[in-house]
Amino acid sequence: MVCHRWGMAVLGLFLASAALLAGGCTRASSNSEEVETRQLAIDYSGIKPDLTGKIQVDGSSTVYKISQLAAEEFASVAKNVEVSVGYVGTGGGFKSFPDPAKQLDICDASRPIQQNELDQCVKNGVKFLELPIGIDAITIVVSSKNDFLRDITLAELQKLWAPGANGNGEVTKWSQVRQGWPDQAVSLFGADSASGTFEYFNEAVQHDKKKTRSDYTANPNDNILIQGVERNQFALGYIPYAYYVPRKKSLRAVKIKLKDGDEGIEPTAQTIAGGGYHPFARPLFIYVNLKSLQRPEVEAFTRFYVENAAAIAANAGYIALDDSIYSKVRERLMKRELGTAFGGMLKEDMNLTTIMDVPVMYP
Amino acid sequence: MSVAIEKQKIVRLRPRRASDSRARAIREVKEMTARLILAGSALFSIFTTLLIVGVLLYESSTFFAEVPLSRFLLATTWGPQYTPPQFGIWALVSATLVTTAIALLVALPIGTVVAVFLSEFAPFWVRETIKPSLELLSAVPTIVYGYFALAWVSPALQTFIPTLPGSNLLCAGLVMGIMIVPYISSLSEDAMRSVPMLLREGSYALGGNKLTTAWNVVIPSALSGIGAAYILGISRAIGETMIVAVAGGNIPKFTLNPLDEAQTITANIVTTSGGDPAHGTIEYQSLFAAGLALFVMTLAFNIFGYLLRRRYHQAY
Amino acid sequence: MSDIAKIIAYRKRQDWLFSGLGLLCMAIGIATLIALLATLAYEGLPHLTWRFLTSNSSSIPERAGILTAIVGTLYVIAVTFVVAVPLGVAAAIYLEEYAGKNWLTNLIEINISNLAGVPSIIYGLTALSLFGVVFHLHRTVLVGGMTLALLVLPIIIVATREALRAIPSAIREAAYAAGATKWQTIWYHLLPYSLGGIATGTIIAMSRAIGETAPLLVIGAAGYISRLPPPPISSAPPFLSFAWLNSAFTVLPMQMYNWTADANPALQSRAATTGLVLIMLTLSINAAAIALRYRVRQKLKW
Repeated sequence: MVCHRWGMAVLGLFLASAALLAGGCTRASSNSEEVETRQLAIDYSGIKPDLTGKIQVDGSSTVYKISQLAAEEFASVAKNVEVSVGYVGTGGGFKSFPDPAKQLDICDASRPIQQNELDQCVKNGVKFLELPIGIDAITIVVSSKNDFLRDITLAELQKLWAPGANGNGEVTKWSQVRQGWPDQAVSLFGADSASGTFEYFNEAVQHDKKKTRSDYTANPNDNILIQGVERNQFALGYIPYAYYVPRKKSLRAVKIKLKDGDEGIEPTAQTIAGGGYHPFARPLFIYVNLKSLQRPEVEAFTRFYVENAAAIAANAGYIALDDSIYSKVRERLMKRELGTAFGGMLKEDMNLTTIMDVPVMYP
Repeated sequence: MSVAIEKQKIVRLRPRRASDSRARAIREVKEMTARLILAGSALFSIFTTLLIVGVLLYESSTFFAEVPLSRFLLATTWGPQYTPPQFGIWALVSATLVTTAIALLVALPIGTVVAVFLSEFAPFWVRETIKPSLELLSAVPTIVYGYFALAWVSPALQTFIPTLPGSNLLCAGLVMGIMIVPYISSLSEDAMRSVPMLLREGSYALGGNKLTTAWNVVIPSALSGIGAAYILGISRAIGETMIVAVAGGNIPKFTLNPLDEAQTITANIVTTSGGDPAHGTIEYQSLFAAGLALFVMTLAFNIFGYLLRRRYHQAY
Repeated sequence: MSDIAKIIAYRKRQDWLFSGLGLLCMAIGIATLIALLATLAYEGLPHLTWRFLTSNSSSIPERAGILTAIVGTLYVIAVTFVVAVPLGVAAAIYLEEYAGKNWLTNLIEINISNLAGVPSIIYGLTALSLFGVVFHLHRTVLVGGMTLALLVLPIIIVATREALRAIPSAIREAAYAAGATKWQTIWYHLLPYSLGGIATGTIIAMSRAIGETAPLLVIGAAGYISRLPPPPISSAPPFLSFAWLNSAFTVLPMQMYNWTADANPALQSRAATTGLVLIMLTLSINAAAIALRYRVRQKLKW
């Protein structure tokens, strides 16, 4: 009927114009909330545009941000190469890395390879290169609505995250951590057990990479952790630095005090690179399968990654290593020096200026 | 070609040829194949149901080999990373129930009132202008509803309740309720419209106005159809994923407080599968245990609703 | 006023009040719709540029775009269409024309009605297990399309059945009287008349499939893919490539979900832009379906 068509047309026009007017006009007068990203220079000259093939990268959700950016930049020149980057977690990445059926070319890792993973690689004859590409700082965050927690000592952190008899934490209220803090229930957020961040944090706080209380919200997706923390003024969480940076309005980084009476150190580019943000500044790695390196596209991508690591890591929100370190990394790649420098162990509080001084060993 | 003009006398317009029986044979083969293919396609729906049930049962069986059914059904914590891993389904079911209840509190009254209004009160031109907007509501993808809940409804609620966390069950429930209104109203309206005019006229003759007619005559007659609509709404609310995953929260906990941030069964499945658990791990299997719980809940309501609908179809 | 007049006035007022209530409830729905569109426009409209529509996804908000998502949506919907429409129409024809009133038919109908009510996420779980375990391949366009096809199958079946039921039996009887077989009747007479209804149902089903997120999220969202899935046309004979069926993918609602959940507020507003595109797409498809249904009803005069 005529009424039907008229009705629909009128309704549609009305709704559309109401919505667009409301939205468009209001928007025009407010400022755009774009996070500024420093665009450091990247050198694309080494990439041949006619490369083809597939590259699989997976592993740490921390390193994911860097690898994804590297893949994007690389693919903007090498248009016929398909680079896929996942974030299943450092543990998950190292599970797939030694398995030839999984075809994982590059494993992103926010901690060095551990002994059992190393044994698997040796068992399957998988040889690899360990290449540091940037620095992350595990950031302890609270909501900006939180008005009492500005700094915390390592001892308090340890107490807060320590497991009790049944696996749950012993601390249930903030007043139990420090006198003067409110008598409210603690709400904790952190990485899941497959995450390198998880192991590194527990190693640094509990001196045992698997030891933590289990009654906290664990999730491999850092965005979920962030949302949980920023909405609850009695929540605390630990996340990689690059996930904290865009959220400075709603999250606050807690200053770390080594012991009572110390000056609390806040994570900033200077404190992290200079070694002041202690013990949570840690190097980030990519582990490259030697056999994959024989493919020209993987070789080109890895070389591009390593040569531009400083710019890519910085653009992704992390901290770049020293230039001297990067030149040593490039040398390691060129010489195909296999193995790991850390002996399959997790050393928290690694000295970031000397990580390339220890020679790598492949058993 | 032959034409029957008398009972036993068939006149042929052309002599029978050998190719006739060949053509008939081909036609019969075509008929049989057509029938088989069509029947197969219809049976495919049974196959699909068996597939779904089979997959859920198979994968859950490995789960229940490790986690006793009693712990699954009775415990109230859901924490795969605990030692030992905790898998109390009530943590997730409680959030599902809370969001469903809130959604129904919104959708059932609004949906029914709209249905009664459109079927009994609205003049033709009003009905034709307004019904398209209901169709529009149901055409919006649920992820868009989820974004809307997070970006607009949640801050709006926070102005009334300042201590409200950014994602909470109330917010998700409210938006889910609006999403379900078209389902309830269109099915209820269909049920009400199919009530014969005679019944209404009887009521008008006795002096009833539209409201009393609707309340005393139309609604009771259409009750099974309206009930079927309600049940469809319940089932839809239980199975809804994106709105609760985005706006309801991602912390599994047992709670009946709508102002809390909690994870429903569906949101749990989405978040856990997003972490890509390897096949064979307890996390992977927990996906299917949760899926089985969800399937059982919606199956019960679906079958109930189907039986109700069949009854209302037969009434007139 | 006499008593009777008072009663009548009271009754009439009751009716007016309820009409007002009805309009109010409708207004709530419409107001929500307006608020939704306004929110999307407020956050997302500034970013809706040609560049956004033709760029790949990126972690840098200024460069982010939905090209991969659009291409992925097209590919997945193509697979859904090819799988669901023949299957659904065939099943509906059987149920309407061939099936007798026995327990098997009842079972089939219960199944279809139940499948329509199964939460979409369960389809994703089924595909995850079936294709992940049996075929080791569960993140491809083919699997995604098949999962969505299962999901929208009931919609197509119901629409086709309605279209077939609307054809008066006189047409069927005339065909049989002329000596046609059952299949000939269906193919040459019933299907052409019901095409309009089938097309409407298919369009609505595709619109539903475009907006579905949950099952595809369960099957697997790859983190990031630098390249579009390969095009179906290849430069070498036989000029038709099926490699795209096997490639990883992302679709518009998945992209919106990833950006909604992202910590970066600039990316969250891109989620709103994606939502705008998604809504415009589904609404225009639905409008096309409604217009088609209207035209078909006008044209068909028995």
